[in-house]
Amino acid sequence: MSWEDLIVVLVVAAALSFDFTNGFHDTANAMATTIATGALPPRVAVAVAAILNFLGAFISLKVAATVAGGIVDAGAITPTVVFGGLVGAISWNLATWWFGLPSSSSHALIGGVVGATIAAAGTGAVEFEGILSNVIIPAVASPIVAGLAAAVGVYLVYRMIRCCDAERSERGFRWGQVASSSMVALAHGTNDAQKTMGVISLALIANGSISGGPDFDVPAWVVVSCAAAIALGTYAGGWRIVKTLGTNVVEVRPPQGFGSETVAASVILVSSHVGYALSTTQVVSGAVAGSGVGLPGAVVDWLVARKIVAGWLLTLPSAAAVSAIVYAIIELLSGGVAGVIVVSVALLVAAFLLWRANRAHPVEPDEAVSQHPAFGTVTVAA
Amino acid sequence: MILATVVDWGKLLEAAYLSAVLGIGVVLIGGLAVVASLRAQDRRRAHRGGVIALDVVTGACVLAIAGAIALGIYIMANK
Repeated sequence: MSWEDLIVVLVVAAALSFDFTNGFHDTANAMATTIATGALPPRVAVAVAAILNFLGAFISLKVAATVAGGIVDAGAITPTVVFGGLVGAISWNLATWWFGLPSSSSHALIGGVVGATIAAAGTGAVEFEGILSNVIIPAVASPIVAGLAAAVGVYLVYRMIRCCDAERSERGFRWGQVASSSMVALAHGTNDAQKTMGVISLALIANGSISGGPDFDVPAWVVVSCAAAIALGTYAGGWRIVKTLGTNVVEVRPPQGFGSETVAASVILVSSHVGYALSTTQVVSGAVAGSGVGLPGAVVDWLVARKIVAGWLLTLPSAAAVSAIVYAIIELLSGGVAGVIVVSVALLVAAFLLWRANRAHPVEPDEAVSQHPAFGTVTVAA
Repeated sequence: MILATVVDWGKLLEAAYLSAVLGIGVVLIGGLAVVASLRAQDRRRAHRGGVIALDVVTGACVLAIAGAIALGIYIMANK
């Protein structure tokens, strides 16, 4: 095995690690409201999400072939650039998870790749117009559209059920929540696992291990390993973020959970059909906040919402900055395998310390269930 | 100026409009299913008429939601 091959092995390991963090970071997207309302017990909810993320990864492979397209110049991509981008994205995912902030893993990855590319080849290798039209504008528009649609939908649903017994109607909406959140989980697996497949494929093409071009196929082992990594990460459950999204933004009731997840699934799938790859996290967060606006008397904690939005604004530049620094460190250490190994070890140590700190102050799955007296007592799984 | 030339506002508006209409539509269909189901249960208990019509409405709503799910999976597989 040559040194170049060893770098590719480390890139693949970093990509699968990113995929794992993507899974546990984004568990909340599909299941936070379902867990909060007691529609499914926490462990069952993350198991369902994990299975659907795994299956979703096999539904389509078209995005995997075009990842980073329109964002950076493909000629500037090397395995080291990809590695730097992944380290920046992993770092941002871990940091935002620690603070319980639902931020976009996809934007972290894009920011990471852009930062490492700038460090390697300068700003000329970055397609800023592509970032503006494909990433920033949809990122601004999608949570607003999801929030408004969820607010209208939830308001109208509460008008429809105002004559019904609240407890009985909520039981019905819990079933709806299971269906709508399952769709979000499936869509997440399809979108996000493919991005990691694309990143690994980029590194393999750059190394010459596989050939690119129009007849390019993602190797089967890449598909299976990415699907497994995102599913395992999802099952691990990022409880800090689940708690924030399910109970801290707004006290979610089952009709709101159904409304927000249904609208989120619609926004993600329609936008995907039209040609925009959105952040699942931002769409779901916007829809959850909108569902709070739509329920008369509900209180949205706008301080938490502002923190989440601040996290979104910082995602691209922060991941880019970390990745650029990582790339610079690798270059300082002769630009080869030694630098990649040093950064890998540093990342492992940081992840271990964070894991240990989390064990000292854990957020347990039960904390993600709403403490509202009407919640957590009836589950459709019982 | 840059936004006007770089961003395809027509496509963006189309995505926003379609997703809002579809999302709100499915939420309302879900709400109608719950209301019709509860009304049917109440009428059945009270031995009143109209139960079959309400069950049909519930069934139609459930089928519509199943159709929306199938459409979603189709979109995922063909994007």
